[in-house]
Amino acid sequence: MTGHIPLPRRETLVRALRYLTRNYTMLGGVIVLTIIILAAIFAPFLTSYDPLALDAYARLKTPSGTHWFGTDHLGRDLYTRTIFGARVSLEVGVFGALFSVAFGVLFGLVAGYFRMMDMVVMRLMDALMALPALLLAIALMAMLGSSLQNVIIALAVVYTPRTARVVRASTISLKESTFVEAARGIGAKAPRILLYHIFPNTIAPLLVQATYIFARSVLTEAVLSFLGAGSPPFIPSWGNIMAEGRSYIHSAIWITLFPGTLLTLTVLGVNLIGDGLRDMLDPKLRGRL
Amino acid sequence: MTRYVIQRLLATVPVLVLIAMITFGILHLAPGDPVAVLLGDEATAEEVAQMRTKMGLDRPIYVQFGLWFFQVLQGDLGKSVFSGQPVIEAILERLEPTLALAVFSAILAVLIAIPLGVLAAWRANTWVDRLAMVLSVLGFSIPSFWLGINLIFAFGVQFRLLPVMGYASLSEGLGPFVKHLILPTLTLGLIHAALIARMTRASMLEILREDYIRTARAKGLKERPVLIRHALRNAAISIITIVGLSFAGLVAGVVVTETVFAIPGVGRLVVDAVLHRDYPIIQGAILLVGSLYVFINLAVDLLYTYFDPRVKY
Repeated sequence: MTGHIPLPRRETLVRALRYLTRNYTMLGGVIVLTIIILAAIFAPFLTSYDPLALDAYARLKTPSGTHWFGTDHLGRDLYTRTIFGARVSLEVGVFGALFSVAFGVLFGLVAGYFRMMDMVVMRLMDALMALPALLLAIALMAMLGSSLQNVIIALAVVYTPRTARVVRASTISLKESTFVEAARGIGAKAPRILLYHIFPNTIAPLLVQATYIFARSVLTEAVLSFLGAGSPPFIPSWGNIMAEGRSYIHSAIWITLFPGTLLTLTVLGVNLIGDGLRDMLDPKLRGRL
Repeated sequence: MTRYVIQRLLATVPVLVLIAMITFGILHLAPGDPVAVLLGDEATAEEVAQMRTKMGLDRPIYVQFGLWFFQVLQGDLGKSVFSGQPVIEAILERLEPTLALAVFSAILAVLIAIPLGVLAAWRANTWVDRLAMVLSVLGFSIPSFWLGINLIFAFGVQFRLLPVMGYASLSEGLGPFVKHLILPTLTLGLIHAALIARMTRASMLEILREDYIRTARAKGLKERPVLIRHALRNAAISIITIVGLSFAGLVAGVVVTETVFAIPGVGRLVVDAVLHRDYPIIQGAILLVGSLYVFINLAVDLLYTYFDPRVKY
């Protein structure tokens, strides 16, 4: 017996699709993000250049038929670097969100269910949240050193407290509900109650939170790389491309223009999906936030 | 009220101690031996051991933390590894541009966001509302450094209207001071306006549904006083909260904006320290900004009770 009554899967899907076709902004987000994801997956087939190949004869070329987005100061094709950069950004976004959600769920469930743990876990989370996200990420990157893996670790540390708070809040209210009491009554132990009865009911707010964290992660990675504290400079991430292009604002604005536009569109797409999901899953908030 | 303020002040102590612990941990968990970094590759094992004793690194970690924390409480945040300048001095020296930028951006954000949010709520579900909200989602999807670069390109490079880099202190005259701050303020202010506009709209929408708004309209009041005197005043409480919290966020956002516009503020100091692995500076800056964050939160909470007497303390 689980606490919630799941809708038959197909019907849920049909309802979600029907909702999607009516919510134009969310649909826009889905379309934009799908195109970017496809470009990232099929990047090697979408270009004949190598994202790392230097070409001394093609330095700082303006966008043209041969180089759609132009070239950078080392003659590298920017269109190629930008679509390969999508891979880095999406990877960081997905793993950043995944780890933040996984640890957030763990800490949130434990803190919400066991009063003894609540003080310890949540005070630590409060202290982590008392530090501005970007500053904490910068400090962690200074400590860990620059690598893609460390960016993901830093993002997980920064965003775990935010998911933990959401899960804890739901857990505390669910703990008192009758279906949890019933489960306890028939002798279910805490791990079972947490996993099968409480966790499934926290998924809706968690999903919304996860999309926002995904968006923040993509943005934070770019900012960190731009500041020189993110992915190592040889990786063609959007932040790195723009950090290099910064010195050429006067002569080659296209170096920052295209990756920046793609980055903004990605984050915008994910935020629109997040808003749509929130409205879909919590009709009380529809059109209000 | 006094009792409540004291209670709240005391409650910040554990959070501040935890922030200090995290800050301390960052230095001590960092890979690489700080002594080896300081002395270089040619130091003998003996010299390293001597330096470790001198720096107190041979003691248990909790003793080290205790000693460090005691120093911090006395206002001693250590010295920069590179310049040898006391950390607190380095930070205070660079506080003026950071504060100027943060305050101007906050003012700009409020000036844009509140009218926009009120308008969107008043004309809810019309094209005005939708446009305002699309602009606001766009606002917090744009990376601030990219917006900064584009503003530099447009106003500095194409039209040559404004200086694109650096900072002029107020002592150099009002003109240069303002000119240098316009683009960075726009960058930071526009992005923060997005969040505030959204929250303003949300709280206005809630208030506009209240009975007393219907009453005000029913007794024949014009829309303007209804919106401003009856609705906005009551929405002010939650708007103040979000403005306060967003100001704390602004202080962190300054790091990026200062880098883009080459402004010699605290943010720039932190970024340089990260690139040079100057841990005492990073520690000091995080400790200060973290504490500032906690106190801004506290101030917002206290203002909340002041503005809304229904909130019990």
